[in-house]
Amino acid sequence: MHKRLERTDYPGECMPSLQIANLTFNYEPGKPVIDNLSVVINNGETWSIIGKNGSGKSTLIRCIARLEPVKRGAVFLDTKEILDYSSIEMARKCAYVPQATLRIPPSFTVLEYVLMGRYPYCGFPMRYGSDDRKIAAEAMELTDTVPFAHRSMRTLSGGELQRVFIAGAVAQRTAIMLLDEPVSFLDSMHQEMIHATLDRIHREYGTTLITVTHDINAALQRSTHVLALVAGKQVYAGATQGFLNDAASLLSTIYGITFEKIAGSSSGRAFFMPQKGEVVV
Amino acid sequence: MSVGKRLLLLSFSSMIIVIFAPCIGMEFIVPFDLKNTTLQMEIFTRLRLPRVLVAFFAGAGLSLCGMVFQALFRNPLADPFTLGIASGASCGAALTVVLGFTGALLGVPAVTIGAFLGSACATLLLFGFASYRRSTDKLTFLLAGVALSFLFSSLLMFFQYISDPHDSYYIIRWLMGGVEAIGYKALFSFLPFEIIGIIIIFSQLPQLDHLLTGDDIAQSRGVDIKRTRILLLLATTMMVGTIVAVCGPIGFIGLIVPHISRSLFSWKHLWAGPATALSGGVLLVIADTIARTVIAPTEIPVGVITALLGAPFFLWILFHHNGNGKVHEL
Amino acid sequence: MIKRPAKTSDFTPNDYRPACYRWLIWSIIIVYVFCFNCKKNRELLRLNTPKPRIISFAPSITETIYALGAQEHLVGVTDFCTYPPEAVQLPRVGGYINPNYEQILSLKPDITILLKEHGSLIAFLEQHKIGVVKIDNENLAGIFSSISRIGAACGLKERGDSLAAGIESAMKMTTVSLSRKPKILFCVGRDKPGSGTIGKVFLAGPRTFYSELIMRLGGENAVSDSVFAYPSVAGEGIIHLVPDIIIDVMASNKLMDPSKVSADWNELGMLPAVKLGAVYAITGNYISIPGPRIVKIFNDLHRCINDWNVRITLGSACLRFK
Repeated sequence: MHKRLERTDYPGECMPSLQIANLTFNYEPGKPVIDNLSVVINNGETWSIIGKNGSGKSTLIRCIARLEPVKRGAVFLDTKEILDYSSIEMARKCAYVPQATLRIPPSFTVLEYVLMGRYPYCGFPMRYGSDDRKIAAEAMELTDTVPFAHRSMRTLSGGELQRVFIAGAVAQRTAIMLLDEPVSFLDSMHQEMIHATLDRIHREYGTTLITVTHDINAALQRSTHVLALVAGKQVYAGATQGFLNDAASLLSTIYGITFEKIAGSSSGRAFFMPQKGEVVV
Repeated sequence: MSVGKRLLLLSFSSMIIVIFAPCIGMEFIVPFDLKNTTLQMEIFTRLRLPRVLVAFFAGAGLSLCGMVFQALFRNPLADPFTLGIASGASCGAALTVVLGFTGALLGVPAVTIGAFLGSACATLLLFGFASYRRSTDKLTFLLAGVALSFLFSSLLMFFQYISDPHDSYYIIRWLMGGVEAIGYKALFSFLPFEIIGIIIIFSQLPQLDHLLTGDDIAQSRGVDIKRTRILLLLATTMMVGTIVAVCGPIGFIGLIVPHISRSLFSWKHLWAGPATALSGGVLLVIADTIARTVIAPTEIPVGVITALLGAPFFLWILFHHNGNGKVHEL
Repeated sequence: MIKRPAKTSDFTPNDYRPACYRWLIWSIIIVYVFCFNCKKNRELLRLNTPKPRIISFAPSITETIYALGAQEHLVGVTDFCTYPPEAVQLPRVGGYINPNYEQILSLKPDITILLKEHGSLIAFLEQHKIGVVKIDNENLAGIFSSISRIGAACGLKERGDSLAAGIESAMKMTTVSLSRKPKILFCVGRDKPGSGTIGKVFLAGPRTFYSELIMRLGGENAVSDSVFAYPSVAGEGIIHLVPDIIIDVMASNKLMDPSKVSADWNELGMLPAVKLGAVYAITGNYISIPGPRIVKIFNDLHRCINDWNVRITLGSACLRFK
């Protein structure tokens, strides 16, 4: 079994929390991708960001990860603006898992890749110590990637690769993990595996997970909070329970089609199915 | 055999080759042999040794620059020559010669300064283009580099054309390339810059690994990619400029050696870096030794031998040695 | 099956093909024979015109024509013909590798004089029925006969023959008495001249006219055998050639300081030539032009060898006094 980590195991300080204040972002002038968005994310919450394609979900988490230059509005991490952190400090607080299916993986072995997640903790000579190896091994155990530790990432299947990317982020030991569509393009079994892995990470380390997803049911079943975007504007940001109270109308605003509610699952939360014949092609 | 052992073997064999190469020539000279005449000793120390050292360090520098460019652009075809930076340097060096600037500034020959300015100009043009377009598309970048390369090559040909046809020998070094050197002046005109460049590159080797995984992952892991890029570009521009000023374009090495060392050693740059430098140096030393001995006293252009040696070896690796995935993909 | 409707026309192609085509073929043959005869006649006509229009395709040819006093016939020269200075005023027809075909045709030449290396150009000229005189400047005999042939082409056969004979006798008249046969390294060009070091050096091989000039002056080409006309050699190779005299030629219009050019060779202090100070830099573009000014090259070489001879005899005299 995995050892439960104490809070002091975090390299960062106590209670990391994320605050997004009046964030506006655009690639081209006059066409905001994210429009005046304000959210407070507390430590230990799991958030799902939902919305149509092109509604600014991925851009939002890229902004939080500081991969896009924020010009208007601000993102605060532990009461300090993210722009004030050095790259290393930022990497110790916040990990980012990109969409695995969109890239050719590098030719490193899985172990090499996961170890590279320890980069922000290595000093100048850049040698990975025994501590780093232990943490990497732990991350691989947590994500079930040990069996192919010495295989090249080029030889992995989509589900395996996604888990390796997550393992790399886990090895970073951050309080916040940002995931961009971790289960898209995966079959049900692998989707379930990824979800189980993420649950385990959240349970073991208390990591704040912020996930971009198209799977509304998984989002509503598993996450504690939901952020819904329509054309860069937030239409709902808060606890999942609150979303469920008004789910049908919110979902139709988000996706532009009506959803059918199917009540009664094991967790007690309802499922939503798009109604047939809504969209005329 | 583990990577460490293989690297040890490589450094050992390259040491032997570098020690042995100056003994070979039109006659075999063993250094420290008491029977040697002073002429033989002079040939050994003033002609062969500096030449072998120039070849080794030029090969090492050019192949390291190739490795850096391939990682920076995540493209197997990137190298100082395809991106036009070496052509810029050649052009700068040739322009200095055509305009008749000689002499030195702070001990650095005018040609070296000209070549450095040329390569810096090419780098700035390339990145100016990229930042103007806000282009992150590596392929566009590579194509822009190829266009620049053609631009500078044609400028070089233009210089040759407008200058007297009889002057063409002047700039033949920057059309053909070669490592001929007498004395240590040529070596010392680029070695200090190369050492600085190698220190910078070796300090950024782990960051190069991260760049191979993609800019976003690298950045989210705390790699200051902007700083890494600027440092590496500065180092490579400096190295390419100063090496090309002495040796002219020896293009094949920077493209092929990084692939060979990555597939024979490791994809991790911490291993691939030293392996690339050593094997690039040794390849050029061997090529030059062949070039100056086969039909001595006439010499074959070293670029011909480099390609003749490197291309079949590279093809063999491409088709037979598929260690970690495909050798040519980055 | 669908039957095609019968043709309404009376004659099918088969009916008229033999007769019609036969006429066509006959007329083509007649026209061709006629043209061929005309071409032959015209060629003869052109070579015999009293005032032929001539294009020269090499600086050496231009210089020869001027030396013969036949410049009135010259209507076009190459970009590189800068001697005598009047030649610069003439219409230009491009260079060795990029002849301007349009300009060549518009000058309406009767005769073109060019080198045997001008492959595609020769084909072009023959196709346009322009008289071609090919010359071969590879060795001295070739250069002399070129001068005679250029004279003949200009209609000045006697003058051409006498010019060639004059040059040849000028070279024979000079007799040299040397203490021994010097080995001469004739460098036709190198990279980095004036930079204080010696890189790649291109030498005159044994099959060049420079080599013949050296032999006429009682010297010996340091490059005794080579597959290449102008082999490239560097440091150690030069040492192995053990030259007594180094002649470094800067065949350029850009005047470089000859002392700076010869100073580069001090880098190879172990060479007998450098030890004795027998390194001579000759600048000027005439050195690469195998025309009538070859006498000048010959005299330059003669002066170098004489200087070496003085130095070596003085050197041995000094030794004797010791």
